[in-house]
Amino acid sequence: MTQELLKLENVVKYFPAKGLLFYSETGTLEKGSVLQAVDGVTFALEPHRTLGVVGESGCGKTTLARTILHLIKPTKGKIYFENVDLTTLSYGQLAKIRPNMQMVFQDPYSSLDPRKRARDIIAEPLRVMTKDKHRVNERVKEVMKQVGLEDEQLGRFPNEFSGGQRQRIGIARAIASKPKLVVLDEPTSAVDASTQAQILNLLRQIQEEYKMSYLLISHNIDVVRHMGDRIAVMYLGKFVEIGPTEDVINSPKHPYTAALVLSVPKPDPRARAEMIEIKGETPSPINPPAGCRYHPRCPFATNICSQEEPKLQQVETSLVSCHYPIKY
Amino acid sequence: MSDPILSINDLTIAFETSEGKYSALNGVNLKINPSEIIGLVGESGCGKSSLALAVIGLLPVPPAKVLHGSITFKGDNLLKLAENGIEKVRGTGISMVFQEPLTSLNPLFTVGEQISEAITVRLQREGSAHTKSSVEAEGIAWLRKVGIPDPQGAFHRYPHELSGGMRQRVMIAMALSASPTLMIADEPTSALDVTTQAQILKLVRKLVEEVNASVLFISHDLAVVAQIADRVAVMYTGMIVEEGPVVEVFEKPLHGYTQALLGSYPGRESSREPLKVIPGQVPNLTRIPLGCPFHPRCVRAQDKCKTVRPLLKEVWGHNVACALY
Repeated sequence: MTQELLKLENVVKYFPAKGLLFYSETGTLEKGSVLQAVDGVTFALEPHRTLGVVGESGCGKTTLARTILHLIKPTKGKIYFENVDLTTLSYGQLAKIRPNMQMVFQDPYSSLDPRKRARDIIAEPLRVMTKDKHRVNERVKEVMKQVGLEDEQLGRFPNEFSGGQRQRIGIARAIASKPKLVVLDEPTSAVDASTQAQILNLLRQIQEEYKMSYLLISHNIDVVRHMGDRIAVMYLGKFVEIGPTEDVINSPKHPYTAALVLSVPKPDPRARAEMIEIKGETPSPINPPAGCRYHPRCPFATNICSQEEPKLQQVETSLVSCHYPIKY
Repeated sequence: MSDPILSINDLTIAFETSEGKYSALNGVNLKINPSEIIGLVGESGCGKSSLALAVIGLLPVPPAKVLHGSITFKGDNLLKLAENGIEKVRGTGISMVFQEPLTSLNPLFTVGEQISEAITVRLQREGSAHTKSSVEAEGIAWLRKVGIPDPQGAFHRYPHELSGGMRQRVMIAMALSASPTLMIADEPTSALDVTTQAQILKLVRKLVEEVNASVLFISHDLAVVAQIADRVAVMYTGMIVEEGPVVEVFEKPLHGYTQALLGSYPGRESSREPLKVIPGQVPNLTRIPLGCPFHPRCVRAQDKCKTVRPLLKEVWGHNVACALY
């Protein structure tokens, strides 16, 4: 059995939505309504692996990412990083672990400080780790080269770079401390198609060099398919299906996964008939439907789906939470 | 074959800014036939939106300046029409759906007030009799047509009370309620989720068939264009580099740029191979390379590509601007 790098057990993140929110000792909600951004997510990620998380906007992907890195505290649940439960650590203890878990943000325009030079942006996580200026400078030069930027660009400000180059700076910053886990939150959704291919290739290449694990969050199934060993499909705060990438995409077991996969347009004008659509819209995470959260939109839903919440269970190679998983 | 409803001839438009003059469009030729969906595809900054704004007369002049060329719509040169002339074309002739539905709907008016305005303007122009209630009935009918659940309720709501997909449906209802001959849709699904996008694409196809309109559908996403367009035009640095029937262009791309764009698309099949990338970056529009604008990045570039700017010409059933054919 392989050692897990990251393990989540029933992680929950609620935000107060209306009125005051009280969480009692027993873990029940006492008052007010809550937005259930992440509701009971469990998974494990091994070293040097990639898990892709796909889902539509508002499904809780980004909240999950931020919760894992403890940029926000989970409401409930355990997050183990190398067998240490992060939820029990103090701020200072967390700071010691942070160099091992880094993040690349979605928007390369707002995630780089416009008043800092590229050199200082990349050096910032290193300066937390060491006071040795020479070592910091050497490392900055090294990672700049690895992400495909020139030495002479070190002194420039973010506004002097293109979107793709800025994302390279964001990646350089993330890998500077040689992390074991990098959370990639929509790393290419703000760049053009030709730049996207460059960034994805770069990410794959440096993953091999550093033997890092990636948690890749994206709304784009094609991007996740290209990068991920495994893929998790998220809907309204829950994983509805998780399994090996090709199995999930080629033979989706959950009706939502099937609809999502088929909604993705293909760059092939002859593949038009394949495109299907889901009826209706994603309900609000403030009052999610009872039972299976997908049941109001699901073509296969029966009574039990609106009453009983399906548990994640093994179906062939995947874990699926559905009363009627699709059989092939 | 009937005459095109819109023909753009040798359109060249430059912007004069403090950083210098840059050319947004460089000799664009494009024809749109009746009841045809044209997909205009290209990366950001290639001039797609400038072209759309030029057609509907919303380009800010200055800084924009038309250097030469014409846009002919049903016999009128749109660039020569005075402001009150183009007013007549907008709406009934050409209507537009913008990328971000929240910023293009007025937040201070209800959906109903905004769609009623579009309908009233059309009816006044046609000289038809109308009452407030007949306009409202028509507005609600349009909202139903674009698939909004509870159209009566939505009619009296404000834009912020609707989701992104619903707002985009309202925009489409407004654009089509004016019964245009041409609808310009500038990245109408880029701000939406894939499942919503699939719904909107299907809706656009169905409705334009019903009302017999042509569509200029602008997108950065090749896959979206493949799903909706009858004909595709690929744009690079303000020029159309390839143009033809959708199946032709996607299955037999001739221009180096089109080939490279299609090659860089991830997830076509499961492979752990690196993606094919286009070397370098899109050039700055103040410094478009001489000769073929794509030659510094093209794997097949030859010496002649550096000096002679190729024009669109017909090669094997579609048009391409490449010196190698």
